[in-house]
Amino acid sequence: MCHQNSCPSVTVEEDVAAEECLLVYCKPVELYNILQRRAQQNPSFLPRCLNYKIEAKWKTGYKEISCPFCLMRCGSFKATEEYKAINVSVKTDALHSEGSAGVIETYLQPFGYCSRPRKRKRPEDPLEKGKYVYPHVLESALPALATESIEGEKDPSTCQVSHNPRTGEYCSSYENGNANGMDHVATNSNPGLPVARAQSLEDIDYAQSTWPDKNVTLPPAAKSRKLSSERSESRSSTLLQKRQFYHSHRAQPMALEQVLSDRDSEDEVDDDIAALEDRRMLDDFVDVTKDEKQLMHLWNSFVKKQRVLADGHVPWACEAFLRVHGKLLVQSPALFWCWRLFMVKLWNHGLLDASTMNNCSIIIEKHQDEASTNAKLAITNECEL
Amino acid sequence: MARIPVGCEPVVGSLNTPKKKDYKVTNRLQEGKRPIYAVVFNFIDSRFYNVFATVGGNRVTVYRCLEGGTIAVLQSYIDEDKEESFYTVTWACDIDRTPFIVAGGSNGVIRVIDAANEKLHKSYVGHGDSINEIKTQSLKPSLIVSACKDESVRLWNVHTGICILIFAGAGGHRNEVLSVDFHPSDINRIASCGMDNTIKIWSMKEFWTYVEKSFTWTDLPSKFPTKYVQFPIFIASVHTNYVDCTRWLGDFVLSKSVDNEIVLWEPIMREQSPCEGSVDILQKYPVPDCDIWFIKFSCDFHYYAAAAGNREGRIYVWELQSCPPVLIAKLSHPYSKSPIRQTAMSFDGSTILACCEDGTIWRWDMVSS
Repeated sequence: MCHQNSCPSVTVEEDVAAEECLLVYCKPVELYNILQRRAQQNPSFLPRCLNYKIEAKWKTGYKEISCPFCLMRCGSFKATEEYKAINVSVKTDALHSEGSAGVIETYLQPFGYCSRPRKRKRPEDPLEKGKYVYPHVLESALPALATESIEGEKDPSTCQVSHNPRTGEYCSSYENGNANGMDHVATNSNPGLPVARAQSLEDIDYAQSTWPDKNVTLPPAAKSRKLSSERSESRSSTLLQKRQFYHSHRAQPMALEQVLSDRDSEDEVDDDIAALEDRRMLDDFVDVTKDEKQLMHLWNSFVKKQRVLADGHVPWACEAFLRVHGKLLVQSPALFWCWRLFMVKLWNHGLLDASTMNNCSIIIEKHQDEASTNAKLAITNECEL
Repeated sequence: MARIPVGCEPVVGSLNTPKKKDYKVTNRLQEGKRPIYAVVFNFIDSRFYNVFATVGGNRVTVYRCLEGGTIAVLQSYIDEDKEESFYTVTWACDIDRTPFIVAGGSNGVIRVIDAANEKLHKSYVGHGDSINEIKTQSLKPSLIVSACKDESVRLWNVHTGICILIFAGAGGHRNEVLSVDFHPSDINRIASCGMDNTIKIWSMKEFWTYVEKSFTWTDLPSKFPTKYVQFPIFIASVHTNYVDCTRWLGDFVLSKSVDNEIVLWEPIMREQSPCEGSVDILQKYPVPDCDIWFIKFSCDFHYYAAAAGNREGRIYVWELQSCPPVLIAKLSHPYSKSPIRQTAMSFDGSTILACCEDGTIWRWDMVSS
């Protein structure tokens, strides 16, 4: 909108050319799409969700919300009446392409924001209101506030804010009725189109509805843009094929199939090397027994791989660790004692609660039962032989 | 700087001992106007012991040393990019003994030239900045190692074109890596040195499976699981300035900074904590007026002698394995005034080549008495 106001004599060809220039910047978007799709089908981590905890939190009035570090629901991130946890999106949804456009996963929101409830009175002056549009967006994770703001700003013609194309976007995002308020215009109005295109189309429509008398040479331009947009998808994919990509760590050129595959090994920890380095680090300790070192190594590599970062992740990590390595602990009594001591330490530091402790014991018992039945089976087999 | 206990002072060679051998200039070539940074004989293949390669500017040239001081030009390759400035060259060969010339320079691209078929074999990208030195593993001549300005050292397989290992990271160099060398007998070991004033010794023992895998890799080279080696097994602070050349002498290390001398020292590693080992400086070989960086010395095939050029265009040839060190010869010529960037000693040390900043190549031959 802005650039059309400043240079009204743009020809159709120039417009199309500018549009195609923009495509250069849209190319990497396809990569994000690949990553996004992969994250849904082939997650890097074990599912991290202690259902009973989340349920408990629900009962006590906590909101189900993702924690800002692991992007997953773990029930440990608190949202009470006094402290409101709000998700702030980096417009990842705007990067969606076809297919996934309508799907919104709250727990995949990339960042969390926590604020005290606002004591301030809401401004009455429309100009003032305009200034507050941005904070409204932040808070629109709360449905009540979001609907209020829709009432105030739904009609763009009554609102001075609409002069600004950015706030215009935000207004229409309310119109989409998305409880999140974060979902970008692009997703609903023009799925399948690259971001830049979708936005500019929106801007044009917007301009037409707000100032019908300024309806100059826009329709043909919009038409040709639509044509170019049809080409854009195939064009961006051919450009993707033409450009040389490199692996991020070792800077080796990527083959086309690697670019298009949904596997991106470079953001994963190299397990072999991480294990090697962890062992080497532990070898430096002189006052630690072999079993303790082994348990440390198992725990360290588990924690590293699953990205256990916050205190709140520890209960989940304990249970998941036992599910993965429980068999090993049951087989070796020395290792098992190390684990017990470790649990006591966690308890002393207030990182474990009774229910997790109980669950861990149940998991271990299960493993023990399995081990003993297996042993019995083995013995009976031997007898039969 | 390593502390030296009483009675363990390094032995310094004397510059005033009578010369053991006589060398005289037998040829002088002007290759071009641009400086020649590297000259190297082919010690990889016994058929080509008298063949050497030089790099300067965007050009790689192959010569043959003939009897009577003549030098024949065999091949010359020019990089497409006029801005390219090659800094280093080495000989390597494929599994079927095809001789390769491997050159690298300011563009950070390693060019592998198939000298038998006179064509570019492959180009390896991956380094983020200019390449300062490339060396060949003589026990497995299709392995090369490159030292780069991007603070990393990479191990490549020229047979399959795979970047096998990257020596960089938490324990790696903290500035440009200027020189690197393979251990002559221990295939797992390399030494590297650079502008962070240290010499680091790396071991690829734990990563050797990947080296073996690189020979049988049939998939795309870029799919190879390249590994990072983050921690050297030894870090030595022998010098207080840029270390621009390092060579193994058995299990000892020769290294050179800008202090007018080559230092021979022994890395003494501790079993328990390898990085905290100490350095025992054994001998020093003075090279006067050698106080600018990027001057590389070279040795003959058996490491009997080392030849180092200096800023004034003179060459000092030292007997390496005697104690105290013996100066074999001091080579000077009234027209040789330009800094000598690198020397090359022939297989038996009878010919010494020097490449200079002014684009000349000097050939010195031993005078038999």
